[in-house]
Amino acid sequence: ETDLIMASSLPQVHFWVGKHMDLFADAMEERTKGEVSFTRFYAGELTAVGRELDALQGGAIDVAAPLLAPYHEGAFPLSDVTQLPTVGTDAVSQTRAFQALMDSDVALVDGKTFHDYEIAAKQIHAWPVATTAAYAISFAGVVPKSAADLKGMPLRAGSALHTIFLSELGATPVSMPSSASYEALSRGTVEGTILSVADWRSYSLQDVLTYTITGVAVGHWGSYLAISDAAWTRLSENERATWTETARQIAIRNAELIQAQDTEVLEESKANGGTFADLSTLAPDLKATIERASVATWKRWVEQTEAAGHPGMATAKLWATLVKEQGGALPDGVETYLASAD
Amino acid sequence: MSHDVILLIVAGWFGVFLLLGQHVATVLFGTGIVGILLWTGPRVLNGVLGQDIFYTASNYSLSIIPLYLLMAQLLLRGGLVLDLFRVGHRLAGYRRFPLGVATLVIGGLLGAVSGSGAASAASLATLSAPELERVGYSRRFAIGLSAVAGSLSAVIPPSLIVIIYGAITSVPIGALFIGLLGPGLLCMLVYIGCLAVFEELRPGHDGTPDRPDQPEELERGALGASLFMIALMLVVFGGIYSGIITVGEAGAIGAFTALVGLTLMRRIGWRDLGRALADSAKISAMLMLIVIGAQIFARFLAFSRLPRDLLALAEPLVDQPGLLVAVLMATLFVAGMILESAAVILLIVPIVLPILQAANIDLLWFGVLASFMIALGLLTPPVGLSAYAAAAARRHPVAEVFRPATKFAVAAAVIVIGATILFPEIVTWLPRHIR
Amino acid sequence: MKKLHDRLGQFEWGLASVGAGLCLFTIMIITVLSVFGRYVLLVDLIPGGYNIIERMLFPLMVFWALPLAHRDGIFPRLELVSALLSRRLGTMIAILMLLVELAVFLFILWYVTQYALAGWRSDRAMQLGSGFFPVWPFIAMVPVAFGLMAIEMIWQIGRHIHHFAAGRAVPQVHGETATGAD
Ligand code: NA
Ligand code: NA
Repeated sequence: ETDLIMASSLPQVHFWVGKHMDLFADAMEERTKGEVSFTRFYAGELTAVGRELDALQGGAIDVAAPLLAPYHEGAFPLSDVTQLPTVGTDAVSQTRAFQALMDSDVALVDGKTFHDYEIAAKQIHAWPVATTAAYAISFAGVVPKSAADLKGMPLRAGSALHTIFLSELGATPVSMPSSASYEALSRGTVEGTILSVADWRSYSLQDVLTYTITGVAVGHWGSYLAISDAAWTRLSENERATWTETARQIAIRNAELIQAQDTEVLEESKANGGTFADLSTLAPDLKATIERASVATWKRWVEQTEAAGHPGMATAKLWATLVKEQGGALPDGVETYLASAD
Repeated sequence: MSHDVILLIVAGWFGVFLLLGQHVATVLFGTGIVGILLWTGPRVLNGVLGQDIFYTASNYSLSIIPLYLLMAQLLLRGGLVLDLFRVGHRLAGYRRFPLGVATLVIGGLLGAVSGSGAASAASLATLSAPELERVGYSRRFAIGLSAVAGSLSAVIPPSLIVIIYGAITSVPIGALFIGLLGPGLLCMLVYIGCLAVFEELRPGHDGTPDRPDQPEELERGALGASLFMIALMLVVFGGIYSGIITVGEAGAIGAFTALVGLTLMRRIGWRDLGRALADSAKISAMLMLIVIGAQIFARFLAFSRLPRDLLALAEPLVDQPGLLVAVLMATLFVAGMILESAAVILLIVPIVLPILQAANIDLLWFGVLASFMIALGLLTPPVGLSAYAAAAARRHPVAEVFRPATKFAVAAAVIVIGATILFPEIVTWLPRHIR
Repeated sequence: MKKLHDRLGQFEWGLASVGAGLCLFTIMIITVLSVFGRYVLLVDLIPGGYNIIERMLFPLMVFWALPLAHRDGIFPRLELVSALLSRRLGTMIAILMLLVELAVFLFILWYVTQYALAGWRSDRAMQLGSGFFPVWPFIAMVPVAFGLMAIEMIWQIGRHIHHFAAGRAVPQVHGETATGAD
């Protein structure tokens, strides 16, 4: 019998915990008939947001559920690719694309696949949890009518990619963690944020966000279910196979639940007077600015990632292909840009 | 080793080293490390110590602390307390009760720009205790009253305890500040009542006030300086309340305004600024080491799952939030008597948080109450830093000073906490109306 | 020996007064400027100011000020029991407390040094605006601070033993009182 210390830096109400970590642990315990069990820790009891890799490598925990890749500053340089803007994508399609990215045998650089580059050297084994639903641009009490309205507007950025996107929009990106955004939004320190609607509930943002632009995804955040190599070797061949299969299935289930929550929160917000405007219904100059910013975000991410010595272009191309295979689309101009590099 | 034995060892380590006078932060580090070593073995420490120590200190919310310390330091060095005292003294007209009230009000005003109660108590004891004696109060009562007035710095927002509570629970610090305003003002009223009820006169004093030989002339600028301080208070609270700036920004702008204002009034120079900066950094560093030690200790608590066992134990109380809160408040009062206040909040909150959430207790309301209760520990024996500071400033035995000070603290605990439990709106009404 | 200790004291004073003081001053100025930029100029004057304060300036301030705060004796502790003890017993217990404290700090020092080295080897980074910046130089200040405090403890132990052997009371070098969150 193997008992593993499983920890999340997020509380149980978060969809990556209540709708992934617990489902996964329950399923594993059931499928191995208790041969593999978990002692579960929540809400940062054992490890904090962005410190999960330290905790895994240092042996403080066996399993991180999830390992929040976007908060590990600079540690997963290619994983941010899921945060690039897309069109018509949802949690399920992007989760499948992310799984395909992890499975891909396309060599990005020096014969290394995405998995080799991001995961293998870190003394962990990892599988995608569901990606979030589409990140949308939301505002608190203001309705931008034109590109000029966005000029200099302080908007909250949750990651390096958001910062790029917002500055390309002409807005003023203010970076802060999601947990600080309720206070900042309700007191006007920032006038809007980029976040998935499903995520609003974790931070009570449905009370403050009144106007949201949909139809373009400012990416989908991805994260991993990760186990340390040391713990992995304690599992039998069969248990590992069960683990891999379970991780794959629960990620998809997680995606379905996240997408359902996205719809649910959106309907709730509408019922309370919230407005959701599709990109196609916006004033032409505003729409053009958002589209231009989306393409520029791809471009700047590739350039910055390459400048830091990582295969940004090859990753972006692979991701673009996988997104389309799952029925998603890319902002106008992205394909031209990616093709221009050949 | 059985888990019960480990818990005994850990509790023993904590108690023995704390009592024998080891630094509080070291006690927390030692207890946490020994606990983790015994409970899980050394392997997990690799994943705990390095990252927890750096990243606990890498926290934006806690970076607010030195800014509020800096603002208070600058005002103290600029001599504003003295001016405030002169103005209050003048308004009170050298009569006993009004002078006592003035001391409390000055303590409250000082509290509105300072987050820490010991420094305020020392300056008030130096300035007002002799005058309070002169108008007829006994020596120990005069010093005790200065300690009480000084302790208001931890009771009236801004308060460092509240910043730490907000940082570890993610309750917005701005809302906590505003929520503390009601109980803080109520506490001042209670103290004014206590002043009338508990007053102790100098032996042989017949109760008629002495006339001072010659009321000193108000120094030029004393009134202006006092008005400046009140304006500064309005900038800080107005900014937070109107939602224009966050608490951290209010601290920075407050410190900056104090710096510019005092420099223009030629009350501070480069040397004062340097000292104020260094002292604020040192005190913050000292506090942060306690925060970091408590973090390591909290990791041990998490591994031991003690908070969860405690939650199971407290199950019957969860259905009776009133009783639960009363028990917690009594615990905090006792803990606040012996421990540094930052350590109290850091030790107790992680343990009781699951219970509070299970009982559906408003974390804003609880945080305000808890911070208030812990602040009263400044006045109670055996360790009450305001009483110590005031006694030391007047070179008087602290045991004597504790007697009146404890009476005030107990009255405030019973009346203010009681009222806030019966009428939670005292805390929650204002924060609900901020933008 | 005494000279070396004084030199170290000057170094710690420089770290705290100049280094940490400037960090705090910069935190204040960055915050004031970003509010000014936001409301008056409608731009982000210091992109990534939040990250700069959180990951660079505040930790630097803390770890640079710690050794001097420790040396100046402002760390709070309970003095209840020690006040009741005889002088010799009191000094003996003080030595014991210092030895345990030193052991705890050396233990921590080992781990934080490992962590700092690992950060350096893996080029640990922090987010700064839209890019990244090395964070390991800031993490490296943690072992520096704990190392300096450990040296001070060794010095204090020597001092206590010296006075104990001579049968004298250990003079209090530091007069400052703690003014913490209280
Ligand atoms: Na205060
Ligand atoms: Na006390």
